[in-house]
Amino acid sequence: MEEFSNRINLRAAGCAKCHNPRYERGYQVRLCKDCRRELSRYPVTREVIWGALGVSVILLLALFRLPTYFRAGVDYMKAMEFAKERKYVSAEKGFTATLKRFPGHVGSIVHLITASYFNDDQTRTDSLYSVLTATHTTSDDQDLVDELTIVTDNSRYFSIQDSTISNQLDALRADTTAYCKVLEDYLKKAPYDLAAAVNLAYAYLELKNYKGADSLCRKAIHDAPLFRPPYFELLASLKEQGRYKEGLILTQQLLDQNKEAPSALLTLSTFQLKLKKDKEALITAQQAFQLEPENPDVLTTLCMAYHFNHQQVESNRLLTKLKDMPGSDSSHVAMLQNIITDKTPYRD
Amino acid sequence: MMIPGVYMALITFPGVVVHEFAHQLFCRLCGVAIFDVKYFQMADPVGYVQHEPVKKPFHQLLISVGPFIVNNILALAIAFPAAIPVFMFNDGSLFDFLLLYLGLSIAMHAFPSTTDAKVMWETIWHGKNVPLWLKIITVPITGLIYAGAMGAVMWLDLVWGMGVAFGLPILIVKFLSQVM
Repeated sequence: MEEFSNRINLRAAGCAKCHNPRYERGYQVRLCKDCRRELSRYPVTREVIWGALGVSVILLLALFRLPTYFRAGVDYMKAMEFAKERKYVSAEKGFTATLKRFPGHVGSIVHLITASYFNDDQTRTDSLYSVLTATHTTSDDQDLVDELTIVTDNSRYFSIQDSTISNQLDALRADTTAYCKVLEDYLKKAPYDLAAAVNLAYAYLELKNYKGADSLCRKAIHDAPLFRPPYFELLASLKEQGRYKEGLILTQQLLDQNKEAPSALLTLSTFQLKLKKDKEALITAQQAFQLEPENPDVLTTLCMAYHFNHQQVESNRLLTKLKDMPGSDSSHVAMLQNIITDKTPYRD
Repeated sequence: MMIPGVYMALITFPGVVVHEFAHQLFCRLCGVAIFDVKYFQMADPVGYVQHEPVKKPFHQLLISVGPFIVNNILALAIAFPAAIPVFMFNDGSLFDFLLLYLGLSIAMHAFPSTTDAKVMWETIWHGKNVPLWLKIITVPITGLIYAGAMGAVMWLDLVWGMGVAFGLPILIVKFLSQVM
């Protein structure tokens, strides 16, 4: 006789459990409806119930934390995607959010250093680099090391390498000619010092020596294409010289490095306005506005772009907003007002 | 390194318990009488659910593949919140590693056993009045179960468990970050 622990007799004439002659037809094992129902609800042992309760508590705790971690994960992945697309303003926001949740995450710190570097925020780049150094962690991820190397290689160009020259220059700020002389002499000995070259180009611009400034900036760009300050000096020079078409090409180079660089977008919009490419200028200014809606320079350029696109209501609204901004520069606002009321010519 | 299956099952016993519980759950849902259940034992097999032959062949398919559904879903739910901090941000706590252990253990035992496959094959392929579509879908499922059983010799169950508990959460986050 085949029998199971719970008194199942498979050879019984009636129900294998209770011997009821009214068993359910069509099954290989004869069981009445009630017994089949009861057996299908075979009791779970106490140990398993306790175990399941324990796992349920763990699962609940885990699920409670899930939204935060999930959000952090999605933000990080999005930021990585933005960084890959060279949209560094969006990437910076994402990595900042990630670091709030996971402050020690080396990958996020390195990516944020890169983002702030290409967003032309050298102060933040330096402070994040200090944070990274303070963590005393070494990454064996070669991609991260390579990424950091690009920034550190270019960041060294931000300060003049010879500190005695720096000190000398600090004392000569008011005397531009002497300032230039010191830098010219120094650059003969240290032509590799791009910080000195940029400083000299800036001084040349003040002296309206555009040829000298252009030459220094172009050499610096050639020597270190990812060192961004010479681009901006050269753009300033080109603007002064009215060489807007060359400026468009140069801003495009900056935007290839960072599609969301607000300063590059502003310069591009300005050059487009100067070249009477008003529709393009408005689109560019709106892109900058989406990135930095409270930046007075962005508002100024957008205000002008609206004006030259004959959207006077929008232009006036932005002018009012600029006037109402705390700490707004009244002379700057007055100049803008004169441009959009056609009292001062803006284009050549 | 060869570790006898029974010791591997001992290390990952939560998965065995969930596996047998999944068979039991689907028996209950299908109204199939159960005669005996062993959630875990230090013998071969390490667990089993003894139930009556099913009346509807489709119920056998459900009972056989039940652990694949339950173990994978449960493993993913448990491991998901831990996989993100550990594998994405290198920031796991002890609790996270407990979750990952549970998730891995449960996912490792998601594959039905060859006994499950044999019963399913006998009931569906050799059964009478079984619809053709059911016979057709049973072939690849049985094949996959046998492939999984053979692959277990090469730690395929461990690889599967790691994939579900460690890799899948990251893939889901990556995918959702692109669509959100």
